[in-house]
Amino acid sequence: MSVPERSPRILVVDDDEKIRRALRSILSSRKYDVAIAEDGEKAIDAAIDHTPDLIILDLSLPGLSGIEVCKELRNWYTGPILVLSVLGSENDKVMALDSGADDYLTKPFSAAEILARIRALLRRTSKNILPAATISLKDMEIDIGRRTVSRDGKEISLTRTEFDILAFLSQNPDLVLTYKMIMEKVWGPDYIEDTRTLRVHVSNLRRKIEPNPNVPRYIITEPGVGFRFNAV
Amino acid sequence: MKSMKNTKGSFFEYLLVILAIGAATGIFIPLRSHFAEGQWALIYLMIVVIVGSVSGFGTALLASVLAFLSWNYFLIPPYHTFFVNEPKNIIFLFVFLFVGIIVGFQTAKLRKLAQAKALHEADKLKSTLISSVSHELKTPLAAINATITNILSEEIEWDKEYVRSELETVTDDIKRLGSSINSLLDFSRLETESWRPQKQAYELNEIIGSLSANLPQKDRERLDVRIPEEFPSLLVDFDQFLRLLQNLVENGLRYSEITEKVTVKAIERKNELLLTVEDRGPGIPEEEKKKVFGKFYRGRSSVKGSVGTGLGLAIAAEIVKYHGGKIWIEAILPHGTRMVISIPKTEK
Repeated sequence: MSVPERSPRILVVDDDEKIRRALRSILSSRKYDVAIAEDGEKAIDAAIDHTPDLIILDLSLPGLSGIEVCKELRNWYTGPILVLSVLGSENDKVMALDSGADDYLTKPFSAAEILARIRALLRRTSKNILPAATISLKDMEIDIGRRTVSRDGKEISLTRTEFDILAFLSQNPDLVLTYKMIMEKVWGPDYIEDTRTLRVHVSNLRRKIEPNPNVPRYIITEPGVGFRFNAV
Repeated sequence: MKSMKNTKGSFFEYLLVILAIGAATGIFIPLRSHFAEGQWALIYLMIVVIVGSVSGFGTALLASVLAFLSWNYFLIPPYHTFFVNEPKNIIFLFVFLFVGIIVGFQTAKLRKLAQAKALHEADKLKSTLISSVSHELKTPLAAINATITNILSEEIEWDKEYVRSELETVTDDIKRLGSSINSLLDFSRLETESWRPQKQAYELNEIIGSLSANLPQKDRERLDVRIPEEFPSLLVDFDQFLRLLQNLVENGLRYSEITEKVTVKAIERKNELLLTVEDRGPGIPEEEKKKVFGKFYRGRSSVKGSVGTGLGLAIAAEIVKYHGGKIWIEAILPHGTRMVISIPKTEK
């Protein structure tokens, strides 16, 4: 990873003191610059004052709800928003993403999980880093420029659409990519495709790239939301 | 109408008895010349018995009196009088009343017994719930507390590596605590029907992929999945099915040796899709096969000291029910368990 000029600044919004303390400790020990807010109103003020590079936002806040804060922030804030929640249902996730969140993490989470998500989100928005031209994984190599994929040295032949999907997913590892995001990327914003079409392509893609298609390891389904590319 | 609230029956039930006898009489009148009066009495008696057995004492009594009066008034000549030309017919009144009372009384008694039994079951469930919950939540909590307070005690300078390994066991306990809480939450959501399935078409391997990602590395390697090439997609709630398969797979992993695989197979039949989860553990004894789907039941055959809320299979059964399917257990010889889920095939 390249070193940015200053440490990334992260705003943590959570009403629970213990979570705030844990996150502050996890983040500041990794050289992130941490700002804290306890509720929605303070979060919006803090976002204006501190201009954070990333916001971690709890959904269940007193007063202004996390979803409302998210919508409010999205009027002007362009950095990534990572939503934390104890609610794990599909609807809550979809609602958070629709209100402008970039990813979500369900409580309880481990330090490693949240750090991985933060790195992935910062990587995506970082202007210093160009998207990788080749992506090397444990047993797979994806050459975005030459549009080739090989597993264990053997080339895999993909259709154009399959490759576009794989390229987009693998360039955004560990992050949830919604059906809409993937379809816009692959077919363009005006082209309207059914999510079912996308799912069929992903299914075919899995059959070709997964070492064991019965237990997919790279492309993980986020039910009702989209897909997540698992790089490890 | 089969009110369990009391044995006397509601106003509605009495009304229904009046209507039933009235309707029956209405049907009988045009036919009254075809049978003898004694035969009509038997038919009325049948109604009294039916009322007594489904409703209770009070309604049976009412039915007896009404039946006798209707029979007397409409079906015994001279019609439309209560005059009893043959005094021996008065004996029927007593038979009607007697049968009504006996049947009604028996029904009431049975119902009370059933209520007492249901209450007893509910009480038993509550106390198992409390003991299971307190055991499952308190044990890891106690372990965490003991470990942390030990590390925090000031009189000893702990070795860094030791602290690290102790904290790792704390993490395991926290995971266990989390999964117990999840089980209890899922179970109460299913029980109160607040977890409605949102069914969509998913491929089995998508669910298996998430299942595998949730497993610790060492368990992931023990998972053996066999899905035929053209296996159709499943119309299911993803999270519920993930939970269902996860519970079965985790049971298989837990109850068999660490060197043994747990196999998930998919089989397509004409009208149903079968999913099986097989382990090479000790198997489930015949007499436990039904019980294991009950709430808070823990199999006795656990080798490593069983952990868990005893809710895993109850949750599984509940989810299968939500999907209109069936779940059962088959034995594998010489030893092992095959959990079979059957769900109806949906047209494409």
